[in-house]
Amino acid sequence: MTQQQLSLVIKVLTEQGGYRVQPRLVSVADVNFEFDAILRGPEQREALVVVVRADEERLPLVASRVRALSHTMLRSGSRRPLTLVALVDAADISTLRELASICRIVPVTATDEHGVGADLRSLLPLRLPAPTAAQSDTGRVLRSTLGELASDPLVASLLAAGKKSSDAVETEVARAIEAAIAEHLSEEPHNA
Amino acid sequence: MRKLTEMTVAGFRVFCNEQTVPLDANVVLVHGPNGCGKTSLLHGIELCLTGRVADLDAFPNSYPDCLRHCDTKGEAWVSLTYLEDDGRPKSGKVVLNAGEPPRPPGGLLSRLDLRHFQDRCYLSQSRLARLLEIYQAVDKEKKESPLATFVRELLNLELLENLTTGLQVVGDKRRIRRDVKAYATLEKDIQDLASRQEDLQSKLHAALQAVADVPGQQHSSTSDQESALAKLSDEELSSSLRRQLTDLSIIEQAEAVLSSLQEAGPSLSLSDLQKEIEERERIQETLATGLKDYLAEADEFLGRSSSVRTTFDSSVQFGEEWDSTLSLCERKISQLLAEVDVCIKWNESLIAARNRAEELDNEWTTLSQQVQAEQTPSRAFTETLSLLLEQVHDDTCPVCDRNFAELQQGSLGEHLRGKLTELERRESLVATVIALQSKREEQRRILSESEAKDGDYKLRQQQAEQGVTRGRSLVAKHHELSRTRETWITNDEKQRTAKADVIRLTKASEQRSQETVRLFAIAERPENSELVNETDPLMQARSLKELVSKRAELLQDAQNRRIASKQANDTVAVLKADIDACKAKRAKMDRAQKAIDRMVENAKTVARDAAEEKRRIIETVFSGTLNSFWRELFERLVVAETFHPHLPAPEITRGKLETRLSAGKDGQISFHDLAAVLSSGNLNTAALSLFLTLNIIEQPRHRVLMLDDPVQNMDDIHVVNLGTLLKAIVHQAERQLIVAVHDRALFDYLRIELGPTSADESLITIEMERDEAALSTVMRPERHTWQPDKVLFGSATA
Repeated sequence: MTQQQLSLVIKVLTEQGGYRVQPRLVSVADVNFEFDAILRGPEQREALVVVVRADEERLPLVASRVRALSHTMLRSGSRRPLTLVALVDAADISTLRELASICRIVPVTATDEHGVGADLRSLLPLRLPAPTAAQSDTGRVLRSTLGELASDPLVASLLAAGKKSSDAVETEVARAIEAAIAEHLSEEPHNA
Repeated sequence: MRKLTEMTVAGFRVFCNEQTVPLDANVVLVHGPNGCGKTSLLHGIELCLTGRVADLDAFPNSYPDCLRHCDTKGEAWVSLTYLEDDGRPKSGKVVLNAGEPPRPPGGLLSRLDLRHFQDRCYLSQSRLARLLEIYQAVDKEKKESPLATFVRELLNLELLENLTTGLQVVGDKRRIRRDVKAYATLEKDIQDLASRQEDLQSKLHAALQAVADVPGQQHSSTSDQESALAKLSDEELSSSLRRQLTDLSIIEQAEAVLSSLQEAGPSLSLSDLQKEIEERERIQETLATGLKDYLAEADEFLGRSSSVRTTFDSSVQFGEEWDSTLSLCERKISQLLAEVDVCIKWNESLIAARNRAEELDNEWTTLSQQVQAEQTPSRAFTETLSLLLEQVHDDTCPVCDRNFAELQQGSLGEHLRGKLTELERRESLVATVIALQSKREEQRRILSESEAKDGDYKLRQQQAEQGVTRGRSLVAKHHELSRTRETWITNDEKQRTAKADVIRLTKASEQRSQETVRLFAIAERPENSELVNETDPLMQARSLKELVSKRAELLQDAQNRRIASKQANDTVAVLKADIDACKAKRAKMDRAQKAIDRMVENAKTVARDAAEEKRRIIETVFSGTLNSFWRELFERLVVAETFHPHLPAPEITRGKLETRLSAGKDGQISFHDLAAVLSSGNLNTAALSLFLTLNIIEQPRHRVLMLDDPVQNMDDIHVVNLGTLLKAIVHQAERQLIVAVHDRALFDYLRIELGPTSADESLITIEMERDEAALSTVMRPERHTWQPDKVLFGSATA
C-alpha cells in the first residue's frame, strides 16, 4: 500500500487499459469525494474507477466513502459503472466483499507491475487473438514446405486429391503405382 | 449476420398476444422470473434463424404443439429482422400451425450459418450445463466429438488430414499390396524372377562344371592308341569309328558262323546213314510181303479180283484204295455180323413157334374136353326163346299160361333172359373151339415149314461167323501194315535229313574258309599284327573282336566326350541367354520398383510434411491462441483457482483427430476429469469461458452472442467479472450480446455494468411480466442510451 503501488496501478490502467487519469476530486450533485486516484475509461467511455489505499485503519472510511459515492450517483441518476480498486493486504480482502453489492471491487495486493497487471486483469482489455481464418490456405503453406517436390506430378495430384477426400488420395496413390508399373513393364511382351 | 434488430411474436409459447420488441442495441438484457418466458424469447430468435428449437425437438411428438401458446386460436408466428454483415436488413417469419412442424421449414440462415449459430452463438441453459460433456461426446455418425470437429474446422485441417489419412497406405507395404494388386503381382514376379535367376545360375554353374569335366575324363589306361585317338579330328574320328564298327560287324558275323559250325556239326555220320538205309529197305520188304499177303487175303475175303486194284503198289504211297480196302473189310464184317444176327433171330423165332404150337395144342385139348362135357346148344332153341321173350309181358307164361311166380322166385322175363345168355355163351365156346382148331392147324403148317428151313439157317450162321473172324483178322493186319508203313516213312525222313546234312557240311566248310580269309584280311593289318600267329579262325575272330571292340569303345568314348562337350557348351549358351533375359526383365521390374519406391518416398514426404504442418498449426493455434485465450477468459472470471482448464494439443491417431478437455496446473499436472479438480462454479465458468473462447477465436459468421442465464453457481465475484468480461467482448470483439437472467439484483447490476458508457453504446432491457389472467407474458422493453450525468471531475463546482 505504498505510493509506488498506487503508481503502478495508475500506470497499468492507463497504459494497458486505456483509462484516463482524473483529478483526485470528483463531484456528484455538488458533493465532493476524494480518493487516492480517479480514472475514466476505458478509452472514451465513461466508466468510473476510483483507487484507494485501504489498509486496516482506513478501510472503514474507504467503505463509507465509496458507499456514499455510489448512493449519490444513483440518486443523481448516473448510470456510470463504478469500480473500486483497493490496494489492500491479502488478509483484508474479505472485508471488502461487503462492498461488492455497491460496486465492482478489484483488490490489488501485488506490489510489482506484473502482479498488479494480473490483479487488474478484469479492468484491462482482452487480448483478442487474431481470427483463425488465417489458417485457411493450408495447401499453400504445404506447397511452400514441400518446395520443389510440390511440382512433382504425383505430389501435385495428391494435393489435388487431398482437397476432395482421403479416399481420393488413396485412389490416387493406387492409380499412380499402377501407372508406374504399367509404364515400366509395357515393353515386356509377356511374363517369363 | 451483424445484429438483430426486431422481433415479433404471436401465439408463440408463453406469448399469447402479438408483441414486438426492439433488439437493435449492443446489449439486450432480458429479465424475468423463472417461467415467464426469457428462454421462449431466445427460442423465438433461434426458431426464426434456424427453423427449429434444438432444445425442444428432442421431443418430436409434442414439439409442434409446445411451440404454440396453449390458448391461441388464430395464427401463431414469430418474425425477426436483422442486419446482414453489409448492413442490409433481412427478415423472416415462421408460422406455427397446430400439430405441424414450423413452417416454412428451415430458417433464415443457410446450413453452415445455421450450424455456426447453434454451436457458437447460442448458449442455452441446458447446453451450458452439459457443454463440457457435449463437446467431448463422440458423434456416432461423424465418429468424432464436436470439439474435434471444431478443432478440425477451426484449423482448416481438411486437406492435411486427407493427405495424412489417405497416405497412410504408403507407410505400410502390406496395405499397398492389398490395395494395389498390380504392386503385389510385381513383387511376386520379382521374387519369382530372382528365384528363377538363382536356379538358372545354379544350372549354369553345373553346366560349366560339366564343360570343364569333359576333357579330364581320361581312361586309366592311357595308351598310345588313345593318345593318337585324342588327336583325331571329328571327321577322322567318325571315319575310323565307322571302319572299326564295320570290322566289328564282320568279325561278329564270322564268329557267329564259326561258332554255329563248330557247335552244331552233322546230325548223322555216314555209317549211321547206311544203317538207316538198310533198315528202311528191310522194312520196305516186310511191308511189301505183308501187303501182298494182306491183299490176297482181302481179295478173297471181299470176293474181288486182283485185277480190280489199280494204284495199289509196293511203294509207300498206298493211295485211296488202301483205306477203301479197310472200309470194305469193315463193311463186309458188318454184313456178316448182320447175317449172324438174322440167323440167330430165325432160330429164336423157330423156338417161339414151337412153343406157340404147343400152347395151342394144350388150349385146344382143354376147350375140346369142356365142349364135350356140356350139351351142344341148339340154334333153333335159342331163336325160339328169343321170340318167346318178346311175348312175355308178365309172369304168365305165354306157352303154358302158368304163373311163373308161383313156381319160382323172380320174374319170367328175367328167367328167360338168363337162359338166353347161357345159350349164347355155349354157342360162343363152340365157335372158339372151331376157330382154335383152325389156328392150330395153321400153326402146325408153319412150324413144319420152319423146321424144314432150320438146317439152312444154321449153315448160314456158321459161314457168317467164320467170315467175321477172317475180316477182323484182315483189319488187324491192315493196322499192323499201316504202323509198319509209318515206321518206314519215318525212316525215310531220317535218310533225307542225313543227306541234307552231308550237303550242308560241304557248304559250311566252304563258308568257314571264306570267313577265315576275311578274318585274315583284318588280322593282317599292322595294328592287329599280334594276332597273325593265331591259327584257329574262331579264336582269331574272338581276339580280333575284343581288340576292335576296345578300340571302337575308345573311339566311341572320344566321340561321346566331344558330343557331351558340345552339348554342355550349348546348354551353357542357352542358360546364359536365359539369364540375360531374366536380368533384362529384372532390370525393368527393378526400375518399376525403384520408381514406385521413389513415389512412395515422395508420398511419405508429403504425408510427413502434412502431418508436420498439421502439428505446427495445431500447436500454434492451441498453445498460442486457443489455450492462452481460454485461460485469459477463465482467469478473468475466477479468483484464486489453482487449476485452469485447457485443451491439450489434439492427437491424430490413424488420421483421426482426438482431443479431450483437461485441467492443469502450470502445465505440469493434467486431469482429464475436470470435475475432479474444479468446483461446480468453476466448472460452469470453464464451460462458459470455453464457449466464449470458441466464439471469439473463430472468424465470426454471426456477431450475435446469446446467453440464457449463464450465471449458475457463480458467486458474486464471478458475476462481477463476467459483467466486465461480457462488456469487453461487446466492445472489443464487436458482438451483439443478448443475455437473459432471472435474478433481479444481477439484472440491476448488469444493467449498470453493461449499460452505455458512451454515446455510441446502447442497451435494451426487456422486463417480462406474467399476466396470469391472460395466461400470457408481457414484454416491456426499454432502450438505454448514454446520458451525461452530474459527475464532475476536479471541482465540486464544475
